[in-house]
Amino acid sequence: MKRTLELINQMQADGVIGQYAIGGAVGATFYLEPAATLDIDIFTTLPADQGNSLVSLSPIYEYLQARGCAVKQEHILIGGWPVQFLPPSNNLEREAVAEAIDTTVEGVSTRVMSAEHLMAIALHTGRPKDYIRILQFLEQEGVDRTKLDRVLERHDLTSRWKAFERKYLEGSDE
Amino acid sequence: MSKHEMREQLAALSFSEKIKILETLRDRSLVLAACGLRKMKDRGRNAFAPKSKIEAKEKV
Repeated sequence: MKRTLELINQMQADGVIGQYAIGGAVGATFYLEPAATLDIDIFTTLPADQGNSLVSLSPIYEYLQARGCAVKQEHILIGGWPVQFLPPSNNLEREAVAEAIDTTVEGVSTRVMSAEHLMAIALHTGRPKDYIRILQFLEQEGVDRTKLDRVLERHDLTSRWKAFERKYLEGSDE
Repeated sequence: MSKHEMREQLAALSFSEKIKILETLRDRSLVLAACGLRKMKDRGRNAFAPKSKIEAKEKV
């Protein structure tokens, strides 16, 4: 992972990507017990491409392939880890990148999404594994409920949260 | 130690330590995915039958 993050940081320093944050299962591991995952989700803003409104990941792939990284389906192998680069697709993800927390892995600086943003994104994505992650956050009390409520409200997820609570915390599907 | 306590202990590790565990879990998953037992599933009902027996059945 050290090599992976070093190369991503270098890519940021070289202006290929903007601000980034680790999300997904690896991001959740910052707060929770480690859970098996095969890849790293890197949410990253991309430098504005003048005259082109379409988001292209080509500069990232070109940069990394020139440094010996192999492409494997939707991932690119960096330092042994399959990495998926995800430009934020909505305001929630943009906010999650902007408000990510600074940390280090084996002495290498990096950024991880806040627990509240990880939960809100999991709720928005809504797959069974995302709901399991939300329950883990709640079980381990690794979340600021006031902050979570504000994030959910800002991004119109309050009603979805209430439905989640009814179904998984109160045991009612009504 | 209870399961809950163990989970709390794991959650309290540093991010670097957790990443090392993630790497171990990932490597283990990759080994399991590549192992013969999973491939045997593709043989369906004959998964545990000796190869010679399957070939004999196919001839009939």
